[in-house]
Amino acid sequence: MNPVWIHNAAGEYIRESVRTATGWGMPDLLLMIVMLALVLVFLCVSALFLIWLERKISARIQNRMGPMLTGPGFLKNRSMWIGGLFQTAADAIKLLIKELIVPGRADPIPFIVAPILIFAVCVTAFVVIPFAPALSVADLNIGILYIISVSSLSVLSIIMAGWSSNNKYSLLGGLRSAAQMLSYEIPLLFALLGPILMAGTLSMQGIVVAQYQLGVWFIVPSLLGAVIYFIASIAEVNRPPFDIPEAESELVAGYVSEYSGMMFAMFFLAEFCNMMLVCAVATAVFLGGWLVPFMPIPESPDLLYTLVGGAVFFLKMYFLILVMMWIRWTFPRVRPDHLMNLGWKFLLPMAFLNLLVCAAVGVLQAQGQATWWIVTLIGAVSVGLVIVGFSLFTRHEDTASASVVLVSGGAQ
Amino acid sequence: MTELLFYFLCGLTLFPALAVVLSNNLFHAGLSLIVSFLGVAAIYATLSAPFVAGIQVLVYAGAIAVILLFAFMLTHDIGKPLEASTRIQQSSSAVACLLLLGLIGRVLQSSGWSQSTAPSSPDPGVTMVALGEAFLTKYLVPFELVSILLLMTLVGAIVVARKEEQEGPGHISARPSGFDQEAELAE
Repeated sequence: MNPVWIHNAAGEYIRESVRTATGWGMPDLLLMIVMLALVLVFLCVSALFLIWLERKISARIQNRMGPMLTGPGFLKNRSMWIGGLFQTAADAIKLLIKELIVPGRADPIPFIVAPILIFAVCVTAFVVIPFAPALSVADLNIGILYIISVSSLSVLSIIMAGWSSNNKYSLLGGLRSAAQMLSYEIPLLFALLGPILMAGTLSMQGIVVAQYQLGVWFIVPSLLGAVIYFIASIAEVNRPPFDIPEAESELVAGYVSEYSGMMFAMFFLAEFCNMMLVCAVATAVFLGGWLVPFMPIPESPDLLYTLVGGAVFFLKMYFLILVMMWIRWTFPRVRPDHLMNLGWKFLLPMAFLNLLVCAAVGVLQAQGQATWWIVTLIGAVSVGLVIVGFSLFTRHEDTASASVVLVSGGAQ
Repeated sequence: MTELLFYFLCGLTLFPALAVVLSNNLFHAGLSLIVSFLGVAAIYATLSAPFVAGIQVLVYAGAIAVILLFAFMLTHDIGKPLEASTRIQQSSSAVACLLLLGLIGRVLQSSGWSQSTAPSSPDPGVTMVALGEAFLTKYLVPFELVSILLLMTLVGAIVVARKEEQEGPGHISARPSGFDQEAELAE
């Protein structure tokens, strides 16, 4: 019932297959570089595709066509969903050949390090993401803590960028972003604590297997936690409606105002990679990761299961990314004080409640009574209680002001 | 190889720590502090304490140092050269440093320095379960004391922030969050 092979590192398979093919054992350092290169290639290709996809989705939502012309000739002028497939690649090449301008009175070292750091942090965090059984670069014991702690450094690079640009818009953007990311990290952490409590482990593969053993995905007992995580993670990656750090109508482009060429592209790339990261974590922690429904995990390494599991993982991850894009092009920007109120006065107490519910499920699990229908019942009752509580205790002026904000939007 | 890594990490910890003390630019000092924290975390990781390493990065590098930088950004004239510290400041900090040195020396003297053989394969170290059990049984009192301390800090911070707010109508107080200022200006 507890297959061990899923915790294997993907690099070991590469080393084994190289050894059987050539009889040469790869040294650790080389293997590390190979895995890093694989992660980088995956991230860059996915980001290129996602940027194109986002432009297409925004175009569809705004009743436009989006990029149509760049790409192989036979795709031109067919459907809006295949046109302009190479647009991002063309943009990337254009950005690559542009000059890197460091402003004269900028602080050069933090200015140059910031875009590198924000992308490096994201790549490092991808090390423990379980794309499929036995297909993560390393399945660390502290997996999810590792992701959280490493990605908490990305706020640092935004502060560095904001400060070193020597520009008031950059500085304001950096300040806002620091406040926002620090505040939303707390509900994010507490939302993740619930599943950790139920799984009894910090390892990412372990959390996925725990959902297999429980019989239901962790989103069922902690729907509340999943929603909190999703909202907080949108704020963490600075995407609209929480893009106050780079609100273009008031702050030019926030902390990226002074960046040009490839340094700007690094920030852009990092935004999409971070989006993939938070969606991958949400998939693994709340949506069952690579678990294939109605298919038991095989006892020994199985190529078919790995492939199907990987496909399932990517489907879920891309679904979440699509939802994020959908939210981005649907909601207006939140006002800074509303953002703080939402994080501290709503999401954090709800996360505490979610932690209690998850602890109850954990206790049931320890007693061996956590059948899937009891867990579902607990989740449904907790969500129902929250909904009823809010419909009883919400004051009317609150909803009125909220709707005013929704209508007037970013034009405050 | 392990020894080389250890010396490298020591350098990564100590040189930025020197830069923190010697740098004239406060922002650079803050950044060096973060590098130093990361070096300490890496040393923890090599000592098979991955959990402590993760917490070190999350709490010190990711939260405390970032809040420090945040405070620098809100401070006026941070880029200007610093004023020389007064004699009272210098002497009191010297006393504090000597006390700290004495404390560290006492700890070094009293620890047994047992020669443990370095594990050849990466061993899992202290598990989370063991750590949690130790916190709730053997080290319960210090654990609870720390949480009381944190609570006191939290309440104290709120009290300090509130006091500044009552300074008078129309006065925009220098509260730690830039957001509140902006909200007040918008109103």
